[in-house]
Amino acid sequence: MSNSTLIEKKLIGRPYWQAPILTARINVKNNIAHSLAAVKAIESACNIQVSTQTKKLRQLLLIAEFIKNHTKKLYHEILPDFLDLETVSEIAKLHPEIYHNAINLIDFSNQILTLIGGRTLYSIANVTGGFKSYPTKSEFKQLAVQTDNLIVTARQTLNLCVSLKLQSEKLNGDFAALHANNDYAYYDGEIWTDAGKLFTQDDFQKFAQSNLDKTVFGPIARYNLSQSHFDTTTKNLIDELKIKKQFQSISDNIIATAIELNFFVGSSIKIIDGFSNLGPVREHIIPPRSFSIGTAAIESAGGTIIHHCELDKDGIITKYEIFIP
Amino acid sequence: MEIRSKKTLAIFSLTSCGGCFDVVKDRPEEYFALQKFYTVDDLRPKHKNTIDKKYDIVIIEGHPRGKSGAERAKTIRRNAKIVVAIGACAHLGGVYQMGTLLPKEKRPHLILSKIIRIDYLVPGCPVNSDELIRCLIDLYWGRIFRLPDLSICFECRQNENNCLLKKNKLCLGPITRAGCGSICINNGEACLGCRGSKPDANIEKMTEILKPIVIKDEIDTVLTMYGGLDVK
Ligand code: SF4
Ligand code: SF4
Ligand code: SF4
Repeated sequence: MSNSTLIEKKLIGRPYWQAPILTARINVKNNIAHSLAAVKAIESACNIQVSTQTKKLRQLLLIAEFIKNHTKKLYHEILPDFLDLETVSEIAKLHPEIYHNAINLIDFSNQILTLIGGRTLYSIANVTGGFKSYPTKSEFKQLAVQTDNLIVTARQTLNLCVSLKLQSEKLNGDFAALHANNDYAYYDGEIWTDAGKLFTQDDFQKFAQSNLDKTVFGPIARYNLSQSHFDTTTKNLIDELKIKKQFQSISDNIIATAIELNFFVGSSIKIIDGFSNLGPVREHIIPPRSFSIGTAAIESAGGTIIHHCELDKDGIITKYEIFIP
Repeated sequence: MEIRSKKTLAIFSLTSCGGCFDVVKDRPEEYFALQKFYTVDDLRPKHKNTIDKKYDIVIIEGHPRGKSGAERAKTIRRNAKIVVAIGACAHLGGVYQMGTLLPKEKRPHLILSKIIRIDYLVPGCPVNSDELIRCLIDLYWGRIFRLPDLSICFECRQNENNCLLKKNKLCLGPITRAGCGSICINNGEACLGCRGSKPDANIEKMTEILKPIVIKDEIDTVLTMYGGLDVK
């Protein structure tokens, strides 16, 4: 039985508020993505609409997880192979500049996670209906001071990835990812595939139940379906480095990951700057108004995650389903 | 500091989120400092590898699910001088422990300590990285590592938090073992007992205290979120 099946079963008979805590523990790599998918599914079942500030803080948490996962993927999995090295400690000895890039990006991600969620793994403050505690404006200011170098680091990472001699093994199948009208979608949206199918919130279950064996998720799918929604800086970067607009091979995923790393570093800086100017306002947690059925999807580093919950009249979970690519 | 000679350390994972040891690995400076004392084999992703190699210290994260999990745990034990169980999965059964809504006597508590001898425990979900590093440094120097016997309330008061129970809100701090610095309450959330119960915890009394605060059936779900808080 997979971890997600075990958690789905464990949730039956438990109160709704335990779903984000327990589902976060399906997989440490995507702990924020799972907890947010659960929070959004429960909020949809409880008729809760959270504030724009809550969404921004959650997006920042999710971005921090993307930055950490993308950095680990590129620096701990991909680059050692290309440098013909076995371990991260060998990289530290032989290529200290590369090693420090990874450290700086992971450290930045950890600082965001600790500031907003209370710790680096398994966020505490982020719950159904809002946040249990808030960082101060001055804490955001302290974080903002460190962000200048990170743009350079993310850019160096992309340059390094573009310079690698990548094999091009073609991918066969549809690409699927969240899609939104005006933004590069990762927190909200509808599911699009390049075969033209579109699934709204209500159809998520239908999508999860369709034949997805050959569907490709993750950075490459998001890039192919949504790159026209990148911000100007990321678009300029793509043009400058003459990166193609449609990816088709497995190795393109490396470039897509590095591009997203740049996009997410830039996006995090914008949100951090916003909070260091105005500071977050303390808001009350919004309580459930009623209990019914809810579904929500979110992007994780590896692709789209869907959570579906059914609650009885007392807010007790009667059914829980999790889709992981 | 001059280190005499390195000891060997391996990290194995049973059924788990795969993340307990990441609290240390995610802090590269600390992780490299640890490597001054130990040659570290992180064998979590490579389940089948090197299970027969001998180690001075083995860290196990995760819950021994099914027969194969139990067998794996026994093999790991045979090849280790010292076994350190880390996290609520290894300690209490963790979030994957099933059947926790059954009556207490019928719960299938497949916890690691019922299958193999555990020498040391570092609890939590996830573990506290400072505590885990302290444990490993103590073991390197041949010192006995001890967990605090106090409750989370002790740390919580030191941190000057407003008491949740006094505001008629759920909190398992009075029965939970200290050592995390009351991190959840510091961040506005209740203690949900991920570190397991402190010695002599009065779970019946805690249940009585919670009755006016949490609906009856919910109390059991809270006490079993991380497996079973009553496991000693
Ligand atoms: S105790 Fe928690 S963090 Fe540790 S392995 Fe289990 S689920 Fe993961
Ligand atoms: S909030 Fe919880 S841990 Fe803190 S003093 Fe009250 S009961 Fe104890
Ligand atoms: S406060 Fe309680 S639930 Fe939170 S980490 Fe400490 S022991 Fe675990």
